[in-house]
Amino acid sequence: MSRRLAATSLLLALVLAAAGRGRPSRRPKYGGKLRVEIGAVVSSPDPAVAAANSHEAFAKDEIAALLYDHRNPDGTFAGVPGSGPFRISEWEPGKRAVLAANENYRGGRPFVDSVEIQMGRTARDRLLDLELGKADVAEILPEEARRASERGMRVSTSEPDELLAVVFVSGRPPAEDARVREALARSIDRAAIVNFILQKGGEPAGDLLPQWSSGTAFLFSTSRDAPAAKDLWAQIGGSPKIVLGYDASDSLEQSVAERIVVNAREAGIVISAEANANAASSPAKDGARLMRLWMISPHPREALTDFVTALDPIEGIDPAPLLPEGASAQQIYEREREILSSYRVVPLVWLPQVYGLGARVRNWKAPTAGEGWPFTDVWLEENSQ
Amino acid sequence: MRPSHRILSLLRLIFLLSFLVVETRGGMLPRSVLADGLQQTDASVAVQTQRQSQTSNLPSIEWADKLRELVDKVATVSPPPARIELMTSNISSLSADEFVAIDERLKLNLTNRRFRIVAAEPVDADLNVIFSEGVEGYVIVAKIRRDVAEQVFLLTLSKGAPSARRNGGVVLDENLNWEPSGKILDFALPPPSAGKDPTMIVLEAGRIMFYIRKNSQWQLGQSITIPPLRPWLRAPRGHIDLSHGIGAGIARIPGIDCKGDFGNPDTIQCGFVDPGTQSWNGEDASAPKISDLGGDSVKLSLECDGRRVVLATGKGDWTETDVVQAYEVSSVNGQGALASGKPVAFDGPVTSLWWAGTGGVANAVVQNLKTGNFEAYIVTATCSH
Repeated sequence: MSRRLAATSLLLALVLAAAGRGRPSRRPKYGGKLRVEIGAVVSSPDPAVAAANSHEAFAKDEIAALLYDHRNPDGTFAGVPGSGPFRISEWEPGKRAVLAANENYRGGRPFVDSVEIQMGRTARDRLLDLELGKADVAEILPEEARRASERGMRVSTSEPDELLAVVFVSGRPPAEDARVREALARSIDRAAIVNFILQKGGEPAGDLLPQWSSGTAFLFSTSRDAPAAKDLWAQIGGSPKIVLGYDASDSLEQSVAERIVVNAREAGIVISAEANANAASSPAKDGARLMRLWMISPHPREALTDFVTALDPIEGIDPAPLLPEGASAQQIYEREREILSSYRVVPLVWLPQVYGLGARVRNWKAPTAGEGWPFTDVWLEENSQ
Repeated sequence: MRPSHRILSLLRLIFLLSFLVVETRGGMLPRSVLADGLQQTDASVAVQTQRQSQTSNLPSIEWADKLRELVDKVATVSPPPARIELMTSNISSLSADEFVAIDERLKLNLTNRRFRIVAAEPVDADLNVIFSEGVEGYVIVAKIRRDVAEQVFLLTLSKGAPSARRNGGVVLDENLNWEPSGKILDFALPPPSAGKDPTMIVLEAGRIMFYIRKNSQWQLGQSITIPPLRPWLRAPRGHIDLSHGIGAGIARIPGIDCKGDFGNPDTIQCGFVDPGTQSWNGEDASAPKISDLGGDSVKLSLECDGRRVVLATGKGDWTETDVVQAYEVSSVNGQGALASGKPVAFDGPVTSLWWAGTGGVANAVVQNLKTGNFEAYIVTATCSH
């Protein structure tokens, strides 16, 4: 080695060694406990046990995704519990779960040793615990995302993949009158829901797939047409009354339902909002209800097929013909248009998954539709607490 | 004949001759062009084609095909010759230059199909083309209105690979060599032997694979299994070291060395070793090092103006897009490493960066965050001065 090259190498080594100190690591580290707080209360991790509400259903699904080997395209889980990246080490129903890393997971052992999930934490407590360093990851309500960010909190926001929609319940008058459905759909001010209720933490929805997924959402109108709603309602005789049901445990659904009632009444529509204790079933008086739908895949065909299948028992849209494998954008668009023109399902807003992150959380990737919580890839910086 | 009469006769002759020339040229034009007066002349199309070839730069050949297909669809709604009012807009990630090129090509295709693009009444059809984007690629949305009926056509296109960027200093050029179907740790392209097909060696966590290039495709020839580690690491590192020649190659993952003649895979033997004794090529690519970039770094066998060139990745973790930046390291004490030239950007983290064993060439493995796939790049550094 020449003298000059030796000098260069020595200098390089010194520069590199000095630069390596005191900065966050790039390469993942193993170990530590990831402390997670969520609002939902999950009574059982068993997928066969029905969830009491949409939030429990979502959280239960996310936990199951950590326990099973993988998710099938239809949303079910493959393998046995514990074949996934984690296994349950402690379970206190509705309160707390500790998941231990599966050393033999075929996708590679997770970086953290364990994940502790505190359930049923209020939105306020979750934010507080994040700020005090008592939690590493906590769910944040979409309507609080902007405020949390302005307070300097580290916030992760996914692409919007949760649809809040009005669904008309099949077979219940007045939902069987297409003019009633269309009148209500046209009366809703989605922009007001996004701007005031969600504090811009979501997007108005005019169709069953978000723009980032299909690229065609802009073809569906999201604007309000109150005069048309008024005209349609005037054509209907017999003064029907719509009862709009919502999940009693869901403050966002309550606010949205109340807003819809205000909008609809401005168009002369007779409507009331009523809370349902059990969101899994609709009381007989409900003509319509609010419903949350999560995309199981970022891909338009898979997501739409799942939505149609989920909606079928409620609003009576025939899931057939199913979109074929490799369906074109044109076919998907036509199917969406066909469903939406029936007004049996009225998209309202797209919501993202929002999480607050502690300083020591590294390698966090905002989950995309169908991916689940990214705890398998997260690792913890040792000295950032 | 008086001189003035002679001049007059000469002028008449010139006028007649020029008229005949124009008539002759007109007679050579296709009948269809003359039929309706809507079509441009061949000459003007040729001028446009020339201008187009000078200015347009379609993102990929696929665009040319899809734009032709789009014009075919327009023709089914409004058969040419027809007057079309065209409006185009871009809501995708296409750059302004790409959009201009696509817009020009679309206009050219329309005029070549005997559509006349007009800006005012009377029009036969309105054509509104929006370039959108979904998770599966670009979407061309064409809304065609003829009379009161509107039809929507959708065409989808894949997204291309990132392009190289150049400027002064060290010039970096990245070329996508291969997109494997799974996760890879490192790859090597041994120098081709005379008369033999090029080969590529790929290291995964559990095997070493030997590919041969035939018919412009990498085809798997042979595979050597590496004994599994317990527990499986989620992000193991690995390197194929051919610095002592292909006959004395080493494929290395933590705790295991596989040695042998990599030109003859049957000779390769894998064995457990103490991870502490394993050499990682002078730790070039093993830890965050370079200045405030903080990423992995690798020395090249390249000097620009007497300064050794080093490549380094960005400092983000593996959830972020990444760059490779060249540095020039001075052998003079105190001058340190200076960033040189523009970095090349990748759609995901560079998970492995190693010198390829020749000149200013490095091999980089990137996990594309948009597609989720791993990509093998060859990054070449050259001195621009």
